[in-house]
Parts: sequence; structure tokens; C-alpha cells
Amino acid sequence: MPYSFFEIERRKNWSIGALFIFLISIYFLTFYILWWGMRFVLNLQTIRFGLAEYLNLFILAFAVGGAHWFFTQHNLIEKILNLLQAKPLDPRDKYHQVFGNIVEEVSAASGGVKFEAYCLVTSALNAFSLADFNDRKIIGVTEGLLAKLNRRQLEAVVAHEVAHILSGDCLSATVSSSLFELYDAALDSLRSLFHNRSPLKSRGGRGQGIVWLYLIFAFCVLFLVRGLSYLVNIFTSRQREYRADTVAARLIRDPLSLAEALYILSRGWRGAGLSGDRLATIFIANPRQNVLDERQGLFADMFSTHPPLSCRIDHMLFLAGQDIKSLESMASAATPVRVITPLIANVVPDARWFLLNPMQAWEGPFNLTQLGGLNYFRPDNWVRPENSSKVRIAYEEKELLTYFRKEDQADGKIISCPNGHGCMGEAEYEGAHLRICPVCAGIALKREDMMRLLLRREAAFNEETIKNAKKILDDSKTIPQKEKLIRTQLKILCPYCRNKMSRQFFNWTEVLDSTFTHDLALWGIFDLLCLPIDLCLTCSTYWLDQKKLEILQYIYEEHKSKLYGG
Amino acid sequence: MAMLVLLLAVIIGGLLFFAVLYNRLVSLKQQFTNAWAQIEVQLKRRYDLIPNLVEVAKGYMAHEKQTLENVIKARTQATQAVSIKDKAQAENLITSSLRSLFAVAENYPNLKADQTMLKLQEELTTTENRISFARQYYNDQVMLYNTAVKSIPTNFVAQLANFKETESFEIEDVAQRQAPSVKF
Repeated sequence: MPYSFFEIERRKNWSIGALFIFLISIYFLTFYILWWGMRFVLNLQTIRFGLAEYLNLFILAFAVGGAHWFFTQHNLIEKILNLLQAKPLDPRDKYHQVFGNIVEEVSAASGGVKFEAYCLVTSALNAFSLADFNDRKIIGVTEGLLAKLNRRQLEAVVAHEVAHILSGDCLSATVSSSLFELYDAALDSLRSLFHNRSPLKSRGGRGQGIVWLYLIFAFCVLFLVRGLSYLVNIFTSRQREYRADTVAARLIRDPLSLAEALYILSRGWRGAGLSGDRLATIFIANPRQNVLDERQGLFADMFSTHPPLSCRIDHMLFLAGQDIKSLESMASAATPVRVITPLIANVVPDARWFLLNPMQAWEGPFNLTQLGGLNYFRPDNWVRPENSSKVRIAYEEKELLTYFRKEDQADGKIISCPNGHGCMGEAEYEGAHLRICPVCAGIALKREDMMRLLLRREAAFNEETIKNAKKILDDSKTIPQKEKLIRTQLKILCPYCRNKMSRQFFNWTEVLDSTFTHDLALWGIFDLLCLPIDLCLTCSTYWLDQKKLEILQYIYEEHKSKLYGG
Repeated sequence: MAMLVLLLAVIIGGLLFFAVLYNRLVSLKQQFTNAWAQIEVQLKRRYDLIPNLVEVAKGYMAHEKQTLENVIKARTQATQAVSIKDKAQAENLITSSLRSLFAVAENYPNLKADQTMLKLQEELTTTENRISFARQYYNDQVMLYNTAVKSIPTNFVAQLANFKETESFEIEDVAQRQAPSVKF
């Protein structure tokens, strides 16, 4: 049955209270251990340790723990979303639209509880949920998962995350992750400080010694507290994942879809980036891929955050009355391909102007598209309308002002082809939104869009694309790495920010996650491909000439299927 | 005196017990009423979507006048239905008429490639799913309420306070339990 409001509140209060007590306890224990350590080091064994000292330690632990709690819980969700580099859904992207709709559908199944949908820009396969004390509820998935799962499977994953939120264990997971993530960040900072001692080099003598002593003390405190905080896994029972799976199956009445989704997850990389990996409890599958994850027993139950995926799959298959063979046949079937939609042309205004160039000579007349293609065209240029002798500043002309305002916006602005073919059109390709030149068919796209397109399966590749891709792969193996690294720069201007673009060979690590590119390298696909592209190093915009996107997609898909079996 | 205190305690205890059971029934009733409101929101969404769908299809399916009229007729009937039973029947009619429309649409490749139609297809799919999930949630709540109305001891309170069994929002046959599938 759906969880009642009172039941959720009761669970929430119990688990949050326990977490707070746990936090105070680990601070108390840390200070106690440090006190004993200091007694030993400073040879103070003769000093009595009575009730008053215990009370003082408790007060200290309570004060530090309370401050820690307040600091980490303030603006909790925003902090975690920033850490994960999660982004709200792109309303123009078809996959994101479908995901947003699925979240709304599962919301209807849960009695109209409202959730916010987010996406992680990574090729990994994972999903997460977050909740805070202000009743904010977040459900997020990775771009990799969006590209890999079909609608039913994605619905099952969302239902699993909804189940965590409804049961209240998402809140305790969010709170505990945020509490102990702080230690990791602080430990990392201290480690880097020890590694490169530059901030302390200017100090000298005794002052430097004291600073070092304080830092070593802080490091010891953090190290101890971090070690003890692993015990928090006792609170995050592995059973909660089984419960969430069962509630999800009940919410959508389809355990087989969840079994399929978990099966796909089990065959892919599940990492969520360096920072995201620390927040293991909020994810559907452990991003750290701990060896304990696939083990059972008391030790694994205590120190692993997630139960074995194989057991979870078996559990769902049992509910569905199916066996593992049905999943194997499903995995070998191709992922459904979304519709590829054609180019939508922009409407170009008819008005034309003469423009005073930097050499103080009049040029033109140009229409708005042509003006947009001139690299010296700015709001403060002098212009003269074609049918008038009145000279004005560009921003005083209504149409030009509108153009510059659009330029300032992140989306929907008029951009020009870097090859001088005028205004670029908008196109939707495999669900993603990109800009394409109607004349030379060059494509401008941001890094995120590039990743999305590579992750999404192409309908079919033509013979020419396959032939070119194979040639590029052969060239990449033969040309020495040194030669590949040379960047010939300053070829063309970035259509978005108008900075000079750098012409270079395509580099997988600039688009995809490093783990995946390492896997590609193992299969003979090098970081650098012998495929020249233009990259804006200021705003991370790629300019790809005609057909190059398809070539990249072909190489990626061919080798991904070798790695992960399609 | 002791008897009087005992009697008073029994009466107060009985009243408290009655209040607890009464409140439980009120809470359950509120939950399924709210769940019904959720269904109505989604049904309204579907009613708003159908005229757009017919309008787009009309441009390509000039010879399928009857099919399009059936969809509009089913929609009109559904908007006029008041009782849950009538609504369920009307919804069945809409689902079957939409299924016929999409079956016929398979023969019109231009319609299948139409951008507005593709957008409407996704809207329709998600709306059908939302209706299905909202109906499922409503039926769960109705089942909880009906169980409380029929079971001891809440059935005594239900009779006294006039809580009556309510009907769930069921669809007719198993084939219709699936949303109209559209393959564009």
C-alpha cells in the first residue's frame, strides 16, 4: 500500500534523530581518542580523567557536531547538485522531455507527489534521488542511462527512486551523504596542501612549525572522524534497496522492467564522477563499484551500501515469474531509436544596412544574417539603413538591437556559420538540439550536446561513413602521437562567442568520462582520433564539418558494443 | 459510585473509540476523493489534446472522416459523463476510437512524419500513462476505504455515520488496459 504521510514523518524523525546522535557520538569518540593520544605523546598519564572531563568532551563534541550539522544542512540540495554537476532538464531535448514526462507519470502513481527532474552529464549508467527538510524532492538520471533505457525501463528506475523518497530513507541518505562528504573535501584540501607546500613556504621558523602542528592535528581529527563515519553504513541498511525495488514494482505493476533496467546497469559503468562517487547511498547502484557489493554476509551487510545487483535482479524476476534468459534475449535486442527530425530554417529579416568598417570605409548593404557573419560587427558600430542617409549607432536600430539582445541570451540566438555562409539553422538530431549551416552542413554543438549525441544510438550508417571511419581509425594507429598533439589554431571564429577556434584532432577525453576513454584505449581506440575538428577553448563549442558527427558516432557505437555488448 | 465511574469510563472510552474510527474513515474518504481529483486533471488533459490531434490528422486523412468523427463523438460523450460508471464507459470509447485512428494513421506516412503529430504522440502517450497510474492509485485508495467500511469494527461506525461503499474506476477488458500504442 502507499505510505501514509504519518508513517513517512515517523520514519523520518526516527532516522534523522539517530543520525544526529551518531554524529555527536563520533565527534565524542574522536576527541576521546585524541585526548588519549596526547596524554601518551606528552607523557601526561598522571592527569586524572574524571566525570568533568567527560562532560567537557561531550560539550565540545555537541558544539562541533551541532555546527557541523547546521553547516551541512543549510541549502543541502543545491550543494549536492552542484557537487554532482547535475543540470535541470533541457526543455528542447526530446530525451529530456520524455524523462520529464515519466517523472510526472510516476508522480501520478504516487498520488500526485511532486518531484523535480535533473540530469547528470556523464556517460555512466546510474540514477539518484535527493530530499531535504524543505520538502524538496529530486530525481536524477545520467545521460548514459537516458540513452540506454527504453521508456518502460526508465519508468521502473524512476519508480525505484520515488519509492526511496516516499519511504523517507532518501532524506536520511541525503543527510548522511552530505554530513560525511565534508570530511572528504577537507581531507583532499589538506592532502594537496601537504603535497605542495607553497602556501607555507613564505613563513619561517617557529611560526611555520605551529601552522604545521595545527594542520597535522586537523588532519588527524578529520581522518579519525572519516574512518568512524564509515560506520554510518550500519544505518543505511542494504535492505532499503530491496524494499524500494518492491515498492517500485508495485507502483508501476511491472517488476520485469525493473529487472531489465538493473540487468543493463549491471553490465555498464556506473561511476558518477570523482565527487559523485562519494555520495554512494543516494544512487540506485553503487558508483564506487566496491568488491563488497556483490557479496553477502554480515561484513558486507555492514559496510556495503548496496545489495548485490544479481540478488535484486533475481528478486524482481521472481515477482515477474520470469528467468534470467528473458533478460539475456532483451539485452541482445537493439535499443529503440528515436525519430530523427529534419532541419528547421530560420526566418531572416529583409532589412539591409551599410556598415562602417574598422578601416573607416562604408561596406554593404548587408542583411542581418550577413552582418552577423562579420567579426567586427558590434553594437557600437556606425550603420546606415539602405534607404536612408541618416547614420546611426547599431543599437539605435530596432532590428539590430533585437539581434544583439538575442545574442546575449544563452539559447535561441542568431548565430552565423564560421565559414561565412550566413545565419545558421536550428535542427533536432536524435532528440538533441543543435545548430547546422544550411549551405555547408557544418554543425555547431556544445560539449554536453556532443556527449548526448554520441551516447544515443544512430538509426543507420551509410557505406561512405563506415568507409571514412575505418580509414580514420587506421590513420590514428599509424600517425605518431606527437604529431597528433599539434594544434593549428586561429582558423575560424566560434559561432557562439566569436573567439578564435582551435583546429585540432578529436580527443575522446574532452567529451566522454575518463574511465570510458580508458576502456576505449584498451580496444585500440586512442584518445586522439585522426579527425580534424574545430574547438572553441573559451566556450567549449565544437564545429564539425559535414558528416564528421556520423563518423564519430559510428566509431563510438562500434567499439562500445564490443566493450559492453551493445 | 464505582459502577457510575465504570459506566462513565466505558462511555468515554466508547466515544473515543468511535472518534478514532470515524476519523480513519474520513481520512480514507479524503484520500480517494483527492485521488479522483487527480484522475480528472489527467482526463481534462486528454480532452484538450484530442481536438488538436484530430485537427492535425484531418489535414492528411481527408478520406477517414468517419474515424475522426468517432473520436470527437467519444470525447464529447466523455465530457458530458457525470457518474464514475458513465465516465469509465466513455473513457473506454475514447481509447478504442483513438486506437482505430492510429491504426488508420499507419497508412499515411506524411502524417507519421508530421512534427506536430510527433509532439502530440508523446503528449498522448504520457497522458494515457498518467491516467492509468492515477486510476491505479484511486482504485488502491477505494479498496482501502471499502475494506474499512466492510470490516469490523469500522463497519458499525460507517453504518451510523452513513459512510457508503464507493465504486472503483475500472476499464472493461484486458486488451483495453493498455494505452493506444502509436508507432511513428
